[in-house]
Amino acid sequence: MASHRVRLAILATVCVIGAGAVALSLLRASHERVASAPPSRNGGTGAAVDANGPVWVFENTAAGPDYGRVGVLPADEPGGARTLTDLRCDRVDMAGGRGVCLVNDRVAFRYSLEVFDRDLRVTHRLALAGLPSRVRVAPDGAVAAYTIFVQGDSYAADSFSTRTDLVDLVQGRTLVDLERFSVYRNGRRFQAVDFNFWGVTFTADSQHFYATLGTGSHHYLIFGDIARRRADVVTDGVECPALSPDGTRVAFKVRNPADSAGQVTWRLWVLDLASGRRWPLAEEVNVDDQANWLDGASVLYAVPNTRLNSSATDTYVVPADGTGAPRLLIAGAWSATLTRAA
Amino acid sequence: MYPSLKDVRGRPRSAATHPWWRPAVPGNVVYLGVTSMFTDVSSEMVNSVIPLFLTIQLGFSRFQLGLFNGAFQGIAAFTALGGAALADRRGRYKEVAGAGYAVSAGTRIGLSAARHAWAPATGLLYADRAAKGLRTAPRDALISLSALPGRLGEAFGVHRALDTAGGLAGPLVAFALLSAVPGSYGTIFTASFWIALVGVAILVLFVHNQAGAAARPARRVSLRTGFGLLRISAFRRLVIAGAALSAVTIGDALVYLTFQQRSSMTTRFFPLLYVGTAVGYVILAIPLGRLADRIGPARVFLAGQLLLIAVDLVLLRQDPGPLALVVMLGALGIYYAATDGVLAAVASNVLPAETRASGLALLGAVMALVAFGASTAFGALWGWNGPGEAVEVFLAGLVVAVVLSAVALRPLLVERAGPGAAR
Repeated sequence: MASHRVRLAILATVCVIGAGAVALSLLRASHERVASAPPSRNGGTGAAVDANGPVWVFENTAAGPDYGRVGVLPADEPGGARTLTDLRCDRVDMAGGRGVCLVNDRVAFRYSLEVFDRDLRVTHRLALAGLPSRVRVAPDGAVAAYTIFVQGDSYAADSFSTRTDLVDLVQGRTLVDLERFSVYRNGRRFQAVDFNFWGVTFTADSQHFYATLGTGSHHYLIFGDIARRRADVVTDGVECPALSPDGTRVAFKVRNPADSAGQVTWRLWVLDLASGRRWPLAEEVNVDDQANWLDGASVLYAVPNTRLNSSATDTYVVPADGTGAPRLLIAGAWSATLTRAA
Repeated sequence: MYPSLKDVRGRPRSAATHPWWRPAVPGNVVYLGVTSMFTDVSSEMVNSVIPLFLTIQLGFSRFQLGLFNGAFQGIAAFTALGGAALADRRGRYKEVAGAGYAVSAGTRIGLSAARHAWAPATGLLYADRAAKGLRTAPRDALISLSALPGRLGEAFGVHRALDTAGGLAGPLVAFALLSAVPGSYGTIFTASFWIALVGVAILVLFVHNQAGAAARPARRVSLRTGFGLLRISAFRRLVIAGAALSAVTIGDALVYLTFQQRSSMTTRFFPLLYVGTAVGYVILAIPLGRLADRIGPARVFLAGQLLLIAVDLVLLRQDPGPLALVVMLGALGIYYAATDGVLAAVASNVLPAETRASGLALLGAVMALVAFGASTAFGALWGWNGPGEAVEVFLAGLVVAVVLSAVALRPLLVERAGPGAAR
């Protein structure tokens, strides 16, 4: 074996070449990143936007540099020119003078929830433990619910695991995880390891909500009482509910049988809570979204605009009684909500 | 071969000149430790994100993860016996270990290309583990042959400390690279390859075979040699105890996943759980190795199992907080320091030098295969009844296994440290 010094020299050479290779690789990776991701953190210095209602608040999905920014439109002119704010959200909802913005930083794998006030200034920030997908603010603006994926990243996947939390918007902190609720079915307590909660929609009194409880092959519609930390199963086969303003009907998604490619698609339906009657809406395109109500008679939702590109979406409205046809409401919008004067 | 002058406690006089804080280990052990350190940085950079990668990115269910994890450990068992026989035959410990380290380095390049497809990615990870199985027994045999007599525990302690320090640095390096340039997984694999290559270079350039075993006339060493060693009563008892304990040990990945599931910990910090355990292990490996030399390695090994009971108790808590996390990681660190290298010391004491690698390989293979079954069982129990029940079952089993092992290892527990490495 060669002398000690020669061996040290060989080792040093290997180290130097290695260090060089790693540095080169880092430089190349950093160079590739430079031109891509838009800023993901929302600064608080938005142009003063009057979101005092009634206005449309939504995520702008029109192609271009403003993709992802929150936009505001007057309630009676959804087709008009939109004011773009400095907020960037993947999902947004607003009610009672407060709003919630879910931010998905795909670059740093950081997910966060931002609470903002009626001037669209961020008041609180919470870190989220997984990819966020749904958010609803209660009418009183004091509490909101959000859903994250703990496992998987799509409701269309074979197996996924979600977590839904209620958030106190006034203090800017988590109130409770829905997993802590006691769930009752036919008057008897029941629980299972595979409980998944998602798709919360609040009642007018902001003390109760409807949501989806997925367990086994069921998608139960549950009715929750926030103060008592209790939920009761109402019926089965209701995914991602949205309660009508008068509290009598629920718009929801129904899974279609998987197509030849194994893809999951959904159809929008409405359930009358009192009679249990349910009927499909006139929209036949796949809707993977939590619907919302425009007023007592119309349901709105967003679908991808496949003619442009996969990330562009448009918001449509369709009559809630199953008649009529879908009508384009706001082009290039996702997660739209109509806020009322607080 | 070794100085025959010993003082009453079995320590060679030459070692008495070392100050207490410097481990009395020969250069070979240190170099093997440094090689292991670099190799571990390389593999832990990638492995620390594997459980998350598999469950979140690739959508593995808990049961599938248990299966993967166990197979991961089990695959090493198959190559271990072959590598050990090769090494024992002509005392070629350095060559077999070196081949194992080189193959592992090679898989890093493949992973760089294949990281989005689960089949080639898992295939390469398995190849890496197979290579690890190949080299572990010859390397440990070489450590035991290089160590000073009566200082086996300390030698293994030094090696494991360096090895684990590498494992500790791995996730940190990955974290640092990802923070500097987020999403730079290609860079992580490149760095992983070159770091592993440095480890191979150190072994090739600075480690030498210990002449001792090959000087004896070579009895035919084959794949079956390891099984023949079961005729040695003390070794047979050790294998039984090791298997019983492996059957009820919850593997690292599942411990962390269980904790994450039952707490509100963000997934971003998952890789740092490995770091937490490793810190305790690094700090305590040498002290507990010395303790093993002083009071007998079998005693330290058995006592270490009690820490696992503490870990299980933490996992049973609903919504464990930061304090529980610290307790759990601390207990795991002590457990590893008291059982990993120390077990190799126990085994080295009862195995003859010329078939030591084969014996170590058999012990390792049995424990790895049993661990495979345990991992799968834990995943299945979780799927049926949730993590809490799975932990309860394993905790009950662990208590039984500890009692059984104490009985099985009685002959080893009553005598002190064995007569030394050279027999």
